[in-house]
Amino acid sequence: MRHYLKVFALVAVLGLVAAACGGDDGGGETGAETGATGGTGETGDIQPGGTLNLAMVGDVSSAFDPQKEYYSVTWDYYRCCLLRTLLSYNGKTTAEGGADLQPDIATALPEISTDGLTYTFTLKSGINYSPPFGDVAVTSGDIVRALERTADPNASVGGYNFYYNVIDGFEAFGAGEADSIAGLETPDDSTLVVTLTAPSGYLPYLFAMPAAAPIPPNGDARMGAADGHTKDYGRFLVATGPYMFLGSENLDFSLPADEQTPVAGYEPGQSIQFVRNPSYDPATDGLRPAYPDAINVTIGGDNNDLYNKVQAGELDALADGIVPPQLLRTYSTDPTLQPLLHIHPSDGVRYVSFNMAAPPFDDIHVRKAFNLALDKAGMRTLRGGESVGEIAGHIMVNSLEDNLLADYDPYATPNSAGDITAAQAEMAQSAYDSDGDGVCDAPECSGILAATDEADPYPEQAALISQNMEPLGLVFDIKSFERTTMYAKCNDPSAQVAICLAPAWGKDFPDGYTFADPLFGSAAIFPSCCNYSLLGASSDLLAENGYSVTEVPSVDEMATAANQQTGDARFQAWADLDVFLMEEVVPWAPYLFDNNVNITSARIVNWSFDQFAGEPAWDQLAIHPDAQ
Amino acid sequence: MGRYLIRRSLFMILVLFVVSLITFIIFVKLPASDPARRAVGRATSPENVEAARIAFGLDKPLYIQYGRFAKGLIPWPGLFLDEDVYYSYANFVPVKEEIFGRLPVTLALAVGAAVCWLMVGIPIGIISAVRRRSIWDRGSMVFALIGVSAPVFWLAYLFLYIFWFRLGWAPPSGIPIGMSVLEAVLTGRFILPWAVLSLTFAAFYARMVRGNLIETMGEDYIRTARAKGLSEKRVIYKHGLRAALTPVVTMFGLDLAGLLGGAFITETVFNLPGIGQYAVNAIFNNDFPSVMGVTIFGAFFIALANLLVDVAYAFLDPRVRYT
Amino acid sequence: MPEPLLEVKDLSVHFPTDDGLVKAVDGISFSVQPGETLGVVGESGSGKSVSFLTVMGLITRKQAQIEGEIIFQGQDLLMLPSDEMRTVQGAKLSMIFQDPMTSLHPYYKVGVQIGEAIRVHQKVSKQEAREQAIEMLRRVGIPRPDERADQYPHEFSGGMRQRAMIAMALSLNPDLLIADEPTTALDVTVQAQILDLIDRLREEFNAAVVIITHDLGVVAEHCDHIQVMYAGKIVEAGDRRDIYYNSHHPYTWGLLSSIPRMDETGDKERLVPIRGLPPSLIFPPPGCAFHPRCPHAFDKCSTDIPDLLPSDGHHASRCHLTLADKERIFKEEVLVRS
Repeated sequence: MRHYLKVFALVAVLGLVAAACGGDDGGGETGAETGATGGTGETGDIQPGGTLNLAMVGDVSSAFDPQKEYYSVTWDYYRCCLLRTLLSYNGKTTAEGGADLQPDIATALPEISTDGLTYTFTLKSGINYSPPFGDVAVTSGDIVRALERTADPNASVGGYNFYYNVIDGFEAFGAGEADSIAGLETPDDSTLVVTLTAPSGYLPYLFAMPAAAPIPPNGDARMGAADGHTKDYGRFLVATGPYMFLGSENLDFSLPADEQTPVAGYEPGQSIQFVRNPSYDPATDGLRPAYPDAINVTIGGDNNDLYNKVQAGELDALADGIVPPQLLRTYSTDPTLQPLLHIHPSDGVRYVSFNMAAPPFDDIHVRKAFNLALDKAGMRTLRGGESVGEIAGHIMVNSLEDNLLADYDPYATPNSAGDITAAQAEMAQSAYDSDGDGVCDAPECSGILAATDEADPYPEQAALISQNMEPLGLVFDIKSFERTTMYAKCNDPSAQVAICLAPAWGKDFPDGYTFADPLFGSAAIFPSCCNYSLLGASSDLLAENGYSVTEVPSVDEMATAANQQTGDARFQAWADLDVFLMEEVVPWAPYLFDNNVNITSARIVNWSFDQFAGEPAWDQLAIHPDAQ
Repeated sequence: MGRYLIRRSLFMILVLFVVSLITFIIFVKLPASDPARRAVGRATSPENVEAARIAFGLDKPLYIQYGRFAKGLIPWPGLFLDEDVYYSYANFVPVKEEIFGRLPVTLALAVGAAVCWLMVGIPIGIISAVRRRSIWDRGSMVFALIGVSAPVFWLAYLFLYIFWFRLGWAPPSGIPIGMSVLEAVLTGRFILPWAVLSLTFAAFYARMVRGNLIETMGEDYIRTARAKGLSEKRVIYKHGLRAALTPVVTMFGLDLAGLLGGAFITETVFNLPGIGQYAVNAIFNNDFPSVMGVTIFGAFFIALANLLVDVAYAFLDPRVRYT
Repeated sequence: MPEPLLEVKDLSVHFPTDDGLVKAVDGISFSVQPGETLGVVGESGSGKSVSFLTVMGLITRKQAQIEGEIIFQGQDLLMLPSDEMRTVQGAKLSMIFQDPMTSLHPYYKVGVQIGEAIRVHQKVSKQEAREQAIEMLRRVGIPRPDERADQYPHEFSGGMRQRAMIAMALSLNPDLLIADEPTTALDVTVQAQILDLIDRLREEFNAAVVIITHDLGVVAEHCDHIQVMYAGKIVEAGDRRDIYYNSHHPYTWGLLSSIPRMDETGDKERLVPIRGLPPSLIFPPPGCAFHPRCPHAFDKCSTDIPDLLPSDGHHASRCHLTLADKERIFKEEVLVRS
């Protein structure tokens, strides 16, 4: 009897396992409608209409509050669909002009004064807000209102208002020292004049960000429709784009703010629903074809299960998913499925950063040797293989430099697998290698404090790095942390972390300033953020934190000069800074420019990738007419 | 009984206090980062971080911070999880609104699963006990072993993959936008979640009922019942089961209450917008007010269930009397 | 001789276990006349309870190998299908058990439990059954029976619980009541009350009673006939006088010697226990099962199993000793002491 029992149990388990591993042949044999066969790109079939069904694994970061949202997925929803701004983007790839600013509410790119301190925007007419403000037109004062809200530290919690400090009087207003922003003037309803504290070529980009989207007036309230909604304006958002939240017309701004009912089209943690904005006039826009009639997003669920739904046609795409490796393989190798697989650079870079005040990384030869020894291809493989990105040979993502440095890789190695001979040759020149044999023999090279992320695949990557650096005599003491804790430790000089193994950085808007300033500017050192290499650190700061190194090179002057450039000269200036950093400073070993990998369901017949947000341009995804 | 109830209610508040204090201490002591820094995102100025800290009340001393949360403990309308303090750092929605908005889903999941596991587990337990060592008994104990050992997340994925993706028998995960919870139940969206959630419990209850019933059937009063000439059925159900089920009632109350705090894994895998999913997100986002709110809510239910179950025991077992 | 109420012929009850076949009852025969009291005495493992549980149908062929016949009122109970057996159980033949606390269901009121016994066999309403139950409680001497009927077993004292059990067993006027160690779990003073009650009720209800006990003192006053069991067999049977004043088996002698006496002053005599341990029922000793513990054993005892032989119409013993030896030893050793 007992013997029988064991056999029964074994058979049952095997049966279950067999069913589970029953092979994944890609398209599910469910009863779901797959509609169109063949994939995308048959432009003759594009017909507006239908409902786009999307899903997100996690929710947006700050309940759609445009002053707070610092999340590219939400920025994507704003740009494609909800919010128009003075300037915007065309929702396409860099090659198709996706990184170039386009006029949106403004009639044209701004006029810039010769001293670079004054920018003048002219607004189009006939752009109205969504119901219940359907008969209210956008004016320049509405832009000012948005910027005043951005300056309010309570309204911009989690946001990026520090970028706007370049506008004269912005900081003072935010601190309550002035009752308006001095550098913003509205001579009339269709003109906005912006005055800066110093020439900054990135200013126009700031008016393409959601924080600068107009907020409609509401009675006498200074903050207009956002009055009283300091914490949660996102749930009462008034749209200007081709879409608005479902149920926007039921918003009642005549009531006191705490008695208003939030919009039905956003259920935090559960769902997002966009419907067409009746006030939207496509004739005033050229950037948004707005094919779907409605967009439904469900929030939550399991990543792999959601991708199963995409295969089955239940969903059209995921906004924040990671394509499971097995699925990626299936789609890349099957010619009928390839058109549904979309891979684009997401404008993020993955790197290892050196604390240039912490030995042995205070020696440029050691840093260069590290760059030469690192097996970048191996790092990429650990992240999932070739589709996940391009090997990075330099710091700034290519779209910020207009592809000027696309082929530039000063530490290139055969197959990007690392070249230990070259690395040792470099190490031999270091003071830490007293006998010049290419292997560090100083005590500072063992027990080097390294911080990494504890989530997969960072631990395996850390192991690869250790393995790569061993022949150089570099031995690491690796500590793993939860992601935000790791960043906090890498950012804090008092933690004495010598090398940070798992950081990544993405642009905020397509300009080199979003890399140069926060990553390498001396003002971005702790307690501010993200200059982990301590470039430009003062000797006082270094001494306070117990470093024996007394100075670290600074690139502040070069960055400031570059920031004053505009047009093509600006791209060149950032490229020059990048080269300088890579060859003369070496604060990092960059290894990967991330790709955004996405798959769409078979009913999607048009695809566009928005380089600005690093996400699909949802309004440009068209549904096959038969499937609508 | 009245005095007993009052004592227990006061004790319940003490329990909530202790739970909240422990939760608070864990949060404060965790090496995870400062919530203000988390909220402000990555590239920011110290002023912004400071503004966030003030907005969240993090600049005040710990005991004042705790005090603000403590007020929301008292399970009284108006005071419970008050909206000023229990306000999510992550999505700027009051915690109370989220919890009560998600309660119907969690209730549907919990109650449905409870019905399933009782309907499956108890009969299996009875059959096993009555037909000990038969093929039924062996088979059901294998079932019990699998049910108790199989991790919920594995079962959930397995079921979804087999029954929806491959066979198309069950609807996909989640509740479509705009569908009410009632409609979702009626269209079968909860079938797989119920199956997964109840499997573990059914297995456990089958074992428990079997064990209890075997023990009960060995009692002397069963022999007396037979000696009176009662039919075997009557002996099993009226005499044996009646005593065997009393501890099961206790367990059931506690299990159900625990589920009302959210079936974390089931809700997450099946994308059911219940309290469990909310709690998981809150934890991953290090969103303290939400975590505290959900913990208090769950603790309240469990404490309440404890009380109700103890009171019920007095009705079920006449030997138990409270003063 | 009138037809016996219960006649057991060659009853064997063997339990198959993992360790072997337990021969709990190994060929016993006896009878009970209507209205008489039979005392069955033996230590644990003697088979005294098992034999009557089998008579009651509480041990069935599902659990044990049963041979022999149990003829009750002319019917062989072992041949009856279970539904017919159930009409007998509780109505014509009933049993009470050792520990009334655990033998009554803790969750149901006493009146309900008695009422249940009634309603199984008679078509009466709950109300009527309750009335009858109250009446029974009164008859067993429980004061305020109508209140007591609505109470739970744990609210009764030990003696009262046993009375309630007796009430339940007698509620349908059975012809035979089996009492399995009815007083073992009770205080000494209450023991006497219960035994007296049983006596009284026996006359009132005109029922035969079997009292199973390990205590020879208990059966002294209350039983007409007594049988002593050892290792699954009857080793001696007789009436009261036979057993107490003229017993013929070394085991019985041992039992008699081990009864404490309150009237012994002076010498402070110690109790004389029977030396040795009860035998294994799987592998009983060869020959007479008692011989390893018997001070009078001789060579034949370890080879031949003695038969149960009558010495006169009502007295039988199972021992190889001659009648003369038995009487001599009894006079010299046992009577002196007891």
